[in-house]
Amino acid sequence: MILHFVYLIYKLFLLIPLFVQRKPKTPINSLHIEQDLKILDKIPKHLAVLFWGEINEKRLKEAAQLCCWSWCSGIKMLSIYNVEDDLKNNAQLLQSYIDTFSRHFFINEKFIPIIRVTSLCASTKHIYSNNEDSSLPDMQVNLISYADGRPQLVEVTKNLAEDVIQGKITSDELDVEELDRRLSVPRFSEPQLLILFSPKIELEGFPPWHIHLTEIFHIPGNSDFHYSIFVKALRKYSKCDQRFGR
Amino acid sequence: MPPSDFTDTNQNETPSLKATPNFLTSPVNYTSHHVQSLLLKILKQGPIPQHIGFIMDGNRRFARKMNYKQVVEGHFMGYDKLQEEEVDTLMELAKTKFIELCEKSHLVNKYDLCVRILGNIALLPVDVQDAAKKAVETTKNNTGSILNICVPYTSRDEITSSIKSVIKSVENGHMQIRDINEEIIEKCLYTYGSPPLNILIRTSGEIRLSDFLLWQCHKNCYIHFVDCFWPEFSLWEMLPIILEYQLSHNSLKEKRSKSGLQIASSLS
Repeated sequence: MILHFVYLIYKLFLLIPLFVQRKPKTPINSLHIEQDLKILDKIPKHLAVLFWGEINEKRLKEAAQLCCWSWCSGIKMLSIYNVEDDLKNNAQLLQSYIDTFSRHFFINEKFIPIIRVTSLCASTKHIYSNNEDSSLPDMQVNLISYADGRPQLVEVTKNLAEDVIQGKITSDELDVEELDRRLSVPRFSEPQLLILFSPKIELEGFPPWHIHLTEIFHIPGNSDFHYSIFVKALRKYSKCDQRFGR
Repeated sequence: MPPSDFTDTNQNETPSLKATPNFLTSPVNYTSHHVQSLLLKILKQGPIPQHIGFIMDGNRRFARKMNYKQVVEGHFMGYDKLQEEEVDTLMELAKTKFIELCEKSHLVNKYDLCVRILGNIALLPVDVQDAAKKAVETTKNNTGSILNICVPYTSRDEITSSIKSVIKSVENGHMQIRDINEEIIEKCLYTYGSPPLNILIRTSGEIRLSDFLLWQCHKNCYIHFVDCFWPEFSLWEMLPIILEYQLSHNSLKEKRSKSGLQIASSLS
């Protein structure tokens, strides 16, 4: 009984910051972002965002906006994670939202950047791409799911076992670097920054190997992914000091 | 910052390990101690996490903050960018603490502690290796709590070592390739034998995992980045973490029982 009372008081206490939060307006075009990004000392080359909960039309539009903000910030690669395969199943729809949104968002730019969506498929090594254009994209967007985490480690282990049996490699030659080469395929390297906006910091199966040194930025109490989360995360990242052994 | 050990050698010991403060001599400590005991009693009514991991970060910065002449806090470093002198001091500290664990320390006695060393122990100096092995041997039959000391440890190294063991089993014909799955890899990790990791806490305000327990914390584990240095971490920082664990645990249980009811009613 007392315990439940303590839970209630604590839950009320956690709600206070939500009333105090002031959300900046969502930028309409790329010029609005420039002011916010000018002061940043460093930008992650590869940003990852964990989209929690159900992937519906609203979430896909939020993802499309995120892609455009990321390109404006100078981010080269964006990975969006959802524990289920719903994002991957809607890759084409996401690509069309990005293309539509880009036309308005980059109206003041000299060109509309090519932002290409790719679904990583862990069970086979084949990568499905939505854009038939073979030119290099200005920004790569990876859609990843639980299958790209531990199950991918299992796949790599099986492939390594086959290689060892066939004599292509000895088991003594297996080291962290060899595993890293096989896991960090060119399209999904380590992200420097991972953004979470779920109630708690839970990785929900995000590929464990890739985040050994990733800065994990978390803002609780948000059901939507909005611009203020993106900006706060980049600001926090630009102040982070990775002191290896100091 | 690499992960560190969990020997309770810092000055902020939990209140239950110190002598109860006297109201007359230190009323603040007395009140604090009794409030903490009361809150602990209340929390014990709810679900308690079975396995907590700590990245005990911020010892050096704490030492600088307190203007200590030398950084001699209880943590282990693994990176070779450190000054040689500091590494030597830390290894000496490690050896001292392992010996203390062997000699019936108050921690071992109070919690019937079983000490395990997780990591590539062959990389430690021989005298530290011996002290570590002795601590493990002396406490191996204890059945109270398990204390996993991760040194020298990186998670990628642990995962690689596990995968290597699995592949060697296949090579020796003890297993087929098709039998390889997540459970098999988990069985070969250093942490096998401990319950699943429920909570991972990192002190000092840094917001990364630094190659610690990556496999173990990647699902069904709550991560907390706490904004105080390790020597300052006390029960006051721990209590809200336990409270949040209990709240989430309960709401997860509710969700599961609701989905169970829905399935039951759709079948009937």
